[in-house]
Formats: sequence, C-alpha cells, structure tokens
Amino acid sequence: MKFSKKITLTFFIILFLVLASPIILNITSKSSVFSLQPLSIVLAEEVKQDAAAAPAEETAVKEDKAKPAYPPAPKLKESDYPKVKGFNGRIVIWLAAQLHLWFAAFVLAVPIFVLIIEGIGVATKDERYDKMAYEFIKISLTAYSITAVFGGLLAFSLIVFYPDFLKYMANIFGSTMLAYAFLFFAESASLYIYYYGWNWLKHGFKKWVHLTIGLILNAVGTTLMFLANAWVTFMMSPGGVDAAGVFQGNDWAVIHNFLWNPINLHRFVANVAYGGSVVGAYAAYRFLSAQTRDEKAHYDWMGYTANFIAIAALLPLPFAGYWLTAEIYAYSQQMGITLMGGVFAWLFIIQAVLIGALFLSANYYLWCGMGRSEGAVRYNKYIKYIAFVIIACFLVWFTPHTLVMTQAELKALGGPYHKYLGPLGIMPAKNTAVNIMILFTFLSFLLYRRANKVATVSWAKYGNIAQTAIFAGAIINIVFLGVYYGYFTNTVLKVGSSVPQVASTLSVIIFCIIIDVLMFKGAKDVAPLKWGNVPDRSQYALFLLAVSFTWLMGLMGYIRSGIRQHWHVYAIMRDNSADAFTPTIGYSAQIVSIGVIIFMAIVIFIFWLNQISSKKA
Amino acid sequence: MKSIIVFTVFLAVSLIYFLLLDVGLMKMQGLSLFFHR
Amino acid sequence: MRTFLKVVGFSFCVILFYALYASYGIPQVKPEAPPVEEKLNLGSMTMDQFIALGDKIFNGKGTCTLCHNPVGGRAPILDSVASMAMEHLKDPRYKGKAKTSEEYIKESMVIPSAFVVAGFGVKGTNDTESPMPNVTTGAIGLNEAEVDAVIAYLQKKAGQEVTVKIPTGAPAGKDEKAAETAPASPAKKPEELVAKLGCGVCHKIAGQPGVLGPDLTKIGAARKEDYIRRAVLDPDADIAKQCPTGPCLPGVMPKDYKDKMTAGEFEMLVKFMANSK
Repeated sequence: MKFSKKITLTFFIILFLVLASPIILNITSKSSVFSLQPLSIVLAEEVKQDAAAAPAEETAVKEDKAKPAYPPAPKLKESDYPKVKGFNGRIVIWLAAQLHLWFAAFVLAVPIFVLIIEGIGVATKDERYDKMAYEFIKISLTAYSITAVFGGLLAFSLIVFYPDFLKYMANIFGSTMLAYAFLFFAESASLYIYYYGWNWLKHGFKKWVHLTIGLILNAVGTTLMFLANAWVTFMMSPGGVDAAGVFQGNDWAVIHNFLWNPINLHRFVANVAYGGSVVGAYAAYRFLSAQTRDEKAHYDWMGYTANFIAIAALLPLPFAGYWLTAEIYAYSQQMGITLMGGVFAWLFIIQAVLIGALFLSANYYLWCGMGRSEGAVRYNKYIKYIAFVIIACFLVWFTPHTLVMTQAELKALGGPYHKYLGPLGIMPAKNTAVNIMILFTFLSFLLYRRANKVATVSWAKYGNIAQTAIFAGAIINIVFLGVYYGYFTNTVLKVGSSVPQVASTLSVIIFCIIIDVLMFKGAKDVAPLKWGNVPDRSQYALFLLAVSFTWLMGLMGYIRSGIRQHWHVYAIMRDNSADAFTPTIGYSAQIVSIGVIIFMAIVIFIFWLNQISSKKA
Repeated sequence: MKSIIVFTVFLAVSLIYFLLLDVGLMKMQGLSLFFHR
Repeated sequence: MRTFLKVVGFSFCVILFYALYASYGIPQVKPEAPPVEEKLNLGSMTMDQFIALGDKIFNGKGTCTLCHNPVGGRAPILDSVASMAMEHLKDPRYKGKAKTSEEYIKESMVIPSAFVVAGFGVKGTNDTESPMPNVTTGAIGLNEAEVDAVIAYLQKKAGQEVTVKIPTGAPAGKDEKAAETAPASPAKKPEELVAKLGCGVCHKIAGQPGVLGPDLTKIGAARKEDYIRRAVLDPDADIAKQCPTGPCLPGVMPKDYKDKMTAGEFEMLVKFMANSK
C-alpha cells in the first residue's frame, strides 16, 4: 500500500475508535444486565437499609441540605393542562412524536448503510456502488428537513399541552437538551458536506476525507439519538432521582437509566432495517415507473440491495427487542406483566401478524428474485417447503395464550387455556417460531446467493452436508428447548430458554456464512443475474415490507409509551390530564393508521421531489 | 455412504456444541438446563 | 400516474387491513381508568365496609391481581395467606421480624423479600429475592389505611379473625394533604376558631394562655377593626412594641392565616377581638 494511503487509513481507524469509544465504554463499563438495580431490589434494599441505619439517615439529610435544591416532581391537577380548542393534546403529541420518529429513524439509518456501500465501492472499485450510495443520501436529505419540522412540532406541542411536565424534564435534562440542539449544527454540517461534496471529494485521498465525514455524520447522528433516548427511557425507568422526583445532581445517572442501552441497541438496529425498507420502497416505485430496460435493471438492483440491508438488520432485531423487554421485566415486574400478560398483551398478537407479513414478504421477494437467474431453477423445488415452514411458524406465533370464550365454552374446556395449544401462546413457543422463521429466511437467502453459481472447490459436496447438518442440529436444539420449557417447566423459568435459542440461530448464521464464503470462492458464474428480470408483484412485496414496517413501528411506539399508563414519569410524576387513560387497542390502531397514511403521503412527496430534481428542462 | 457418515459426524458435533451452549447460557442466567431452581 | 395510483391504493389497503384487524379481530380489552385518590371517611366505617374497601383495592388500585392470580402463575394465590402466615414465620428461610399473621401480611407488602414462597423468586436467585415491589411506594403507592384494608380483606378471605383496627382520622391520601388547608366546615364560635387556628400558642386570647406574643384579651380597647384585620392578614405590617418575653420581632407570626379561614370566620374573629375590651 502506498505510504499516503497507509496514513489516511490509520487516521481513519483512529478517528473511528475515538468516535466509537464512548459507545464502547458505555456498553462495557455498565451494561444494564450488570449495573443499575431493578426497582424491586432497590426498594427492598432501601427498606433493609432504612430498618438498620438511623445514623446513616442523619448524615444523608445533612448532605442533602448542602446540595443545591432541585424541585420534586410537581403534582398536577387536570386544570394544569392547557386546552386548545379543536385539538386533542394527546393525539397531537402522539402523531408529532411518531412522525418525528419515523423520519428520524430514516435519516439516521441511511447514512449508516450509505457509508458501508460507499466503502464497498472503494474496496471493489465498482462505480455502481458509489452511484447508488449517492442516490440514497439524496433521498435522505429532503427527509432531514421534514424530521426537523416534526421535531419542532413536537417541541411546541409539549410546550402548549404539557408545560409543567416539560418544565420538570428541562430542570433535569437542561444540559442534554442544549447539547442536543447544538449537535444539530454538527449533524447539518456533516450531512451537507457529505452530500454536496460527493463529487468533489471523489478520488484518491479526498475520498478518504469524504468517508471520514460520513463517519462523523453517523457518530453525531447516533449521539443525537442516544440523547433523545435518555429522555424517553427516563420517563419509563427513571434513575438519578429520589422517590419524590428530586434530581440528585448526577447527569450520567439520569441519562444512563435502566432501559437506556436496550433502547439504544434496539433503535439502532431497527433504524437500519427500517431505512432499508423505505429505500426499497423508493426503488420499487422507480422500478414500476421505469421507461427503459437499463432503468429497470438499475432500480431492481437498488431494491435488492435495500432489501438485503433491511433483512440483514431484521434478523437480529427480535433479540434486541427481547433484551429490551427482559430489562423492562427486570426493572419492574409490574410493568413487564402489564406489557405482556396484562392489558397490552393482545397488542403482541397484532405484532405477530405484522412480523409474519414482514418475513413472508421478504422471503417472497427473494423467491421472485431467484427468477433473475436461470440457474435458480434447480432450487425452485425447495421453495414450497420453506414457505410451508414459515407459514406454520407464523401460525404458532399468531396463537394467543388466553382464548376468548363464552361461559359455556370455558366450562367445557375447564379454563381459559387449551391443554396442548395453550403453551403455543407463551414465550418458549414464540421464540421457537421466530428463530425457525429467521433460520429459514436465512436459508432462502443462501439459496438465492448460489442460484447463479456453481462451486468449484473440491469439497463442495461436503460443505453442503456440513451446512445441512448444522441447520438440522440447530433446529433440533431450538425445538427441544421450546417443547421442554413450554410444556414441562415452571412459569417463571420459561423465558430463560430464549437465550440459548437465540444463540443457536446466531451460531448457524455465522458458521454457515463462513462455510458458504469459503465454498464459493472462485465459483463459476454459470447463469448471470439478469437485473430487471423480476415480475412486478415482487415490487409490491417491497411496498408491503415498507408499509408493514411503518405500521409496526407505530404500534410498538404506542406500546412503549403507553406502558407508562397514567404516569408522565413512571412512579414519580403522575399524569392527571383528562387524557391520562389508556385507550383501547382499536383506538390506538386507528391513530397509528392515520399516522402511517400521513407518513406515506409525505414520503411519496419526497420520492416525487427526487424524481423532478433529476428532470431536465 | 461417505455422505451419510459425514452428515452424522457433523450432526453429532453440532448437537454437542448446542448442548454445551445451552448449559453454558442457562448457567449464566443462574439456572441449570434441567431440574432447575 | 397509473403506477402512482396503484401503489397508493395498495398501501392504503394494507393499512386498512391492519387497522380493521386491530379493531375487530382482537378482543377490545378496555383498560382500567387511572386510579383516583379517594377520600376515605374512616371515622364512620364499619368493619364490613372496611373489608369491602380492601377487596376493592386488592382488585383495583393495588394491582394485586396482576400477579396474584391462578392464570399466570407468577405469584402465590393469596386466598389463605392469613392462615398460612404462621407456618411461613416458622420456615427457616424467613428473614423478617413479624410475629403475628397481621404483621406478616403487612411485612410482605412492604418488604416482600423477607420471605419468598418456593418457586416464585426472581429467576436465578434461588428464591431469596422477590420480584414484588413495595406497595406503599412508587407506582402503587397505597397509604397506611389502604394497606390495613387489604390485610383485613385477606384475613376475612382466609376465614380468620380480622385483627386489623380501622385507623381513625387517618389522612385520606397523599394528594389530599394539600387540600387540607381549607377546613371542611367553618367554625361557629370565635373560641372554636381560635382553638382551630392555634392562636393560643402565642397569644392570650379566648381563654388560651399563650405568652409569646402580645396579650389580646383587651385588644378591642386599644385597636380598631382595620388594624386588627391587617394584623391577622399581614402580621409584619404593624409590629407591636412589647411582647411578654421582650421586644416583638418581625417574621415570627405566620403569614398564611388568610388561607386558613373562610370570610365569615375571619369577620367573626375580627369582631370578637374588636369587642374584647
């Protein structure tokens, strides 16, 4: 490597480490699993300490008197919440926040995979990747300003409808709110230089500068999200304040509360999956309206790449969601049980339907895509088995635990559960289903990957056998864990099986990718992929993916926020507004649907803007 | 014939791997794989 | 254009499907309304009413049945906890300080980890830690009277003798304290008002022997009504020269009496003092 290249590469790596170090330190020094105590333990210990330590209390009181006094959480009455004629405050905040999140997720995600694709372009010296990366970042630029618009709407709505709550939060998070605002200068600067300087900084050393700017853009964006996540998770699992809501003065304690890291990880990964799906919808739209074969080929390829990104991020996502829920349970059993065993439980059946739709449409898109290569015909016979398994898993996932029955039916069955089908409604069965769905989606992908190739290594046959055996072993293990823990163990312990199930799936993915890459090194491209050679219905699969993803995010956003029920800050600041009640599922679904329609309308507007911007006079 | 042997060997190895994985991960959560407390 | 319409139509149908499924394909469970602080009129409650209150809290505000139900298996069924209590107290794993069944139940609600029934502990702690929160704090926040009501309910449920006493004059709830500044019914006599407001802590007035502030038994001879009004509402406006213990100091007399009386009570007090000659 040339000397100047070595220097730039070194500089790049050092910069990456510098920017990533806060995140790494955060995760390793105090990962939630080992650090902040869950609520029940904290309270139990508090009581133990109270019982034992009167003199300790006195010194604590003296210390408090020396610290500057922060106010306790205000106790609000219904009249403290301003009303504006013609507007329901809660719905305004709900839609503003959700729309902000949809756009923010998109504009945070796109730079992540744009940077990666640009890097691939540099590594493979393939101009097409660079062009595609540039087109992706262009889409996200318009979305960026709309994200800010909704952010502003959200901030104003909070001031108008929940001023006392905002005042309390500002008292505690004042410094992070200012940091958040100032960081936007860095975000805008890096985004605009990254986009507008794309062609200027295209070659040689300048390309490395460009990549660095992309890295900075991602670092700033991620930091912004982490800051906002602190506010939201503080509302759910407050830390760094006492029981009356008085801020103890430690900024890190309020930021790094119990649910902060789980939400950070979940949102980071989910953003990538979501961003991929929205870009995929854009590509699908351009594909369907393409006039020339070249255009069709270009957008087919783009759609495939976007879908690949979406699925690659979708596969580990259930585990991030699982970790988040596990931490909610660990923080407060009450919140956890309300979430999955109480009033919010049925929402997870809707989630099952949505995730089923996601997996089915992602797989369907891959199967349609096999048609791009004539070499895929030899694998077509396996598709029906994969489809069967995925549908069966979806049905298991979709099965509720409690059945809705009349009194007579209850008597006949002897309880609200079916003896054999009942356990299909609880975690071991659900995890079995999702892990198998992920494995078979991965299988679809492996088949697609080899559709146009023939392996030339001598051990190809054994490589296939090895992969089959690993798959088989994992499936046996996952099903065994699901059945044993589902039918033969105590309630409280059932969920423990989720971790080894997840690890099995991840193991398969890692080992099989390694074998696959080695096996197809130097493979013959017998039937090259003909980009553009896909039926139109495959593009509708991409729309289904994007719409379902959006709706799912809306639903999950409602659940995350609604689980606080009648609290602004859980157990600390009570919500006494007229809208403090938890709405029914149908009501929430309708608001989410309205949000999705507004979002889709604006997104289509953005796609159209992109189209006209490249039109000549 | 050779294929069957290779398959069985790989299957056995992966099952052992998964069993160890199970035991290890359950232990990390403070539980044993069977007959737990 | 046709593509645009097809795409929009397709997306709309998908959204509609999800909205309809969520509205009609799923049981529409109506979540309970947020709990309201209730003013408990404990003074006039019978034991049966108190137990009924405990029942209501157990199934409502206390959120006990969220976990203590036969369906989820997350927490022990409490139907006979009052009779099981003595056995639990003898268990070698018992870590608490209770001696009676009433104390045991109360302790379980405040320090749940004092004893964890086998099989219900936090996963991985070998039944030494309870996942249950302290019900008097945080999201549940039951007050002393509500806790006692639940204990009474559980004792009755187990068929045991109810040993809990109904707390008398207990505060209605944390949020009610702010409302207590305005009394429920106005005083009818000046002496009643003086006693209620505690004037006699400092002043000699209406038979009270206070010696910290000026003697008010003959204040009507020295001062007119306007002065008396101002003295009560804005004590630092005019400070008397001499107090029994030395010169009178500013900032001693409370300034919030205006929040503690009705207008009628105030006029009654002023007239009383004006006539005290």
